[in-house]
Amino acid sequence: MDIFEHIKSLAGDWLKRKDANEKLTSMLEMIAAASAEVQSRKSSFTGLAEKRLQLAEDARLRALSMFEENSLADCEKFCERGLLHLQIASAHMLTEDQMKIELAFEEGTAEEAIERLSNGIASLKMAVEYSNCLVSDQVKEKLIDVVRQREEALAMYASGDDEDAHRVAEGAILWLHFLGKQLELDNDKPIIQIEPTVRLSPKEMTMIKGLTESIIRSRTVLAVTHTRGYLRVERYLNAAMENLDKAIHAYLDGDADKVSRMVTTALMETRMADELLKNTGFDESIYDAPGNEVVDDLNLKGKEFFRRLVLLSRMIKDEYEEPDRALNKLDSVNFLYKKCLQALRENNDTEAERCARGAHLDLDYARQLVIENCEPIYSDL
Amino acid sequence: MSKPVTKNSIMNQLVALEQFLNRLMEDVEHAKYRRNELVAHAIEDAAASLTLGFKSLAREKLAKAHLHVKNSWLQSSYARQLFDAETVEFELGEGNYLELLDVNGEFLPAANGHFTYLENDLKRIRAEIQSRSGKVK
Repeated sequence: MDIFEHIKSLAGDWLKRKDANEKLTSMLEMIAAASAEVQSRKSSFTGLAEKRLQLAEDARLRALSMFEENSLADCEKFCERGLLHLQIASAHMLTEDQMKIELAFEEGTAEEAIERLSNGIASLKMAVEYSNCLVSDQVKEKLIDVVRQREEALAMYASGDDEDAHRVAEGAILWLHFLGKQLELDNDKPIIQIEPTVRLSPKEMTMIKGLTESIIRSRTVLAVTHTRGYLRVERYLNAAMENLDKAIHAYLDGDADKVSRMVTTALMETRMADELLKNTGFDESIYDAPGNEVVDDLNLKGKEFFRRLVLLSRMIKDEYEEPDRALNKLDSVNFLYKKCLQALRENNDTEAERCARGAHLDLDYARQLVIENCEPIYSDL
Repeated sequence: MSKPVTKNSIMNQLVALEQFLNRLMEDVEHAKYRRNELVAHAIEDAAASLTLGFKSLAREKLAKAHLHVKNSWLQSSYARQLFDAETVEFELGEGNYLELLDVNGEFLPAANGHFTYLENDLKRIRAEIQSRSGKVK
């Protein structure tokens, strides 16, 4: 019989039936035979088998030293350990293709929730890398939080605290769902759907999901209508976000009553934001149906231009020390670009070129300010 | 209902996981273009859980061994998926990786990316206008 087949087939009590001397002798013989065979046989996992054989030999030497000290229980313990290394080495040598991992987590368990969360994070990253879409600082920051929550859930799970691990994982899944939506909003295209399937408290989950949708809807309107933001609306939406955070935390604590209160409050704040937006009116002219294909194409590209401009403006507003001058120039870019599109619609190329050049000069001015950090000059472009 | 856990079933999972992790580590090592800290941490944790799983199995503490094996799988599979996502960005993208760990100082590259896009778009639109009106440079 093949040495590896033989070692792998040894029953758990095989070693126990022998006395210490026989155990050590058997171990020595098997390690020697397996090592010789590993050298002469090709396998995809020879390297792994060799490492395990070395560990088996280390365990055998420890067992021998225990035997010398007449510590027979420890001697047996190390022989058992050595045998297990040998069996794993044999299993590696007996497989050509990578073995399939037969691990399926039962629905509704903590490990299944952590797996769903892990898959969600990885899928979101894959979608971002694949689509080369933009990830705003807000989304990135929260995503990093979600990754931290996953670590937390995993640590709880490893220490046997299943219920808390489950809650933390499901809370993070809710956030991930929100971030997926926000990402699509920021990029104005479908990127990823992360289903907020949570199993601990479906009723609360439905409420939180509903709130998420409302916030996203209001943010969508805000992003399209106000390129530099709208402070009062943003204030309401930020408050709603804070309450969303509190609702998720209450969900994590299993406090259904608080979830309900937080969601209700946040929905009121979102409604206030909606009302303000409604009263301000839309600036939809830039997306009007164009008269011909060229303009249609320009409008499509224009949409991406405005989206980038909004992201850049927000970034500068949040992170640049003295943002006003740069923001004024970007406002001017916004204005001139819109005028350029309008002129193109009217087939007025001279005006279109004048506006496009003006936008180009202002953009370059803002870039010198922010990126090159110098006193800008207008140069001919 | 899940299958009952036996010493043999855990050993098989352990072997399969070791092979999975080994392949992942080889792939990560060959991918010289970048080291992702999150992937590296997940691999380290997976390997540590695998060792703990082995120790518990040797002591015939099957429930504990199974827990460590599951933990190791959660980390290995996560690391594999994150690594694959990075590979996609390396092959299709512009090397603009989405960091899932706290990294400071990203404002300038991100802002510069937007400025470059906007500037290129304006150059394109100006070229199109000039070409329409027959004033190609």
